Amino acid sequence: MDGYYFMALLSYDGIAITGISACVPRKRIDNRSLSEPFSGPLLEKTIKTTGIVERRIADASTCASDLCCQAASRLMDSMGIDRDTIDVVIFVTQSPDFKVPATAPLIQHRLGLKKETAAFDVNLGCSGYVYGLSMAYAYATQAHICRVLLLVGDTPSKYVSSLDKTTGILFGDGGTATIVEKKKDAGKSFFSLNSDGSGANALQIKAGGFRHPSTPETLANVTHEDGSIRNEEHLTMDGGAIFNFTIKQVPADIKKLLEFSNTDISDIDYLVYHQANKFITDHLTKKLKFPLEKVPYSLGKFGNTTCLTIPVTLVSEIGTEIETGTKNLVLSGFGIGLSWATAILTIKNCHVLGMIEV
Amino acid sequence: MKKEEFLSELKEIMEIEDSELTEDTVLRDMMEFNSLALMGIIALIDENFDMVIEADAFEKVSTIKDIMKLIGMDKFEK
Repeated sequence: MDGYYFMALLSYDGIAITGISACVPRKRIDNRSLSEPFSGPLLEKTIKTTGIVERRIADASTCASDLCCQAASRLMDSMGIDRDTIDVVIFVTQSPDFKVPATAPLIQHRLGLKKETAAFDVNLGCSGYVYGLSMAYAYATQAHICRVLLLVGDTPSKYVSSLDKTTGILFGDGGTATIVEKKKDAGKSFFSLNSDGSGANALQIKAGGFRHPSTPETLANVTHEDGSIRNEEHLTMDGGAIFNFTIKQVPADIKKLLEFSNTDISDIDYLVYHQANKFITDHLTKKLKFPLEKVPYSLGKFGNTTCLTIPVTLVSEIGTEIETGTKNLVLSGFGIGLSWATAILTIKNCHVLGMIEV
Repeated sequence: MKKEEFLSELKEIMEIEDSELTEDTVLRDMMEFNSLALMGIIALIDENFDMVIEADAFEKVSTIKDIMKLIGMDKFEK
């Protein structure tokens, strides 16, 4: 492994994803039915470019943790997992139940897990599933850890202005559960993790934290030049900056990890991207000279669900393939932070539940 | 990539059907210049010249020729 110093590169042997499930709210938003400020040819072009046709939105009383608990309960029941074998709960989200405490201990209690369970939250978005998996794999290597429950969920509908022309049609809500544990024939898996905080304001909720605390002013809706209406506690996005960052960093990171893991790209069955914008990821695929038909998309049905787009795509688009066969996957998450991560791993005979709707 | 090919690809990205696009066309005069078009132009340049131009750089761009200067006039095939 010469020449790979000073990089967050990880490798594991004999650890696998053995079960995965995803839960989305029943309520659909059809982007084509949106009214002002969205309309006309630009709306149609945005739908065509991003690939986002429909999204799911949680009701006011449903949190990301609720959707994750549904996904986890049904997955553990379906796999016949004794809940005492769950030793770690990792909850990746940008929509915690409370500002404090962390949501993962609440989930430990709600799922009826034992008190000897490690439970903590991770605040990451687009790169969150790959980061979360890298941690789950790390814990799973430990002799006394039987199973890690990785929960990745978010409700961006609660922090995005539905009247923002840049972000208002992109995001959807959901919650997922992934079981990670030791498996003799799992083979090797590899991760590359990266960050660049100089781009933190490219995707940001400026106010409501402790740098810019919430005030009546930060909550006052303002009409912007382009007709968008939002306040300072809504997510803002600089699409151009994100696009630049993505096409520079993502293909390079995928290539780096392929090289590090000594994997030929032709041995990859599926390249599963964070689902943000089909135009961008199609461009990345072309840059990598990878076949477009081996890149699954769930964008059309669920939109950008932030940290959980990758597990949602695994379940909804290639669920049968990873349940019945052996598939080599590249997972690529990138965006808010800025933060980006790549994983190369093999999934075989994974227990996959069909999409759950609540 | 030749200049003519570049212009014709740009025309497609901006969805201009009934008017001409030349090196002297002013970008912001066109209705179709928006963030989606900008993404298309950056991708076009990346694909054909293997070079990522920052979105910010387009703020100083006036005409199509200015975009071509960002790429470098010598990079176009004769």
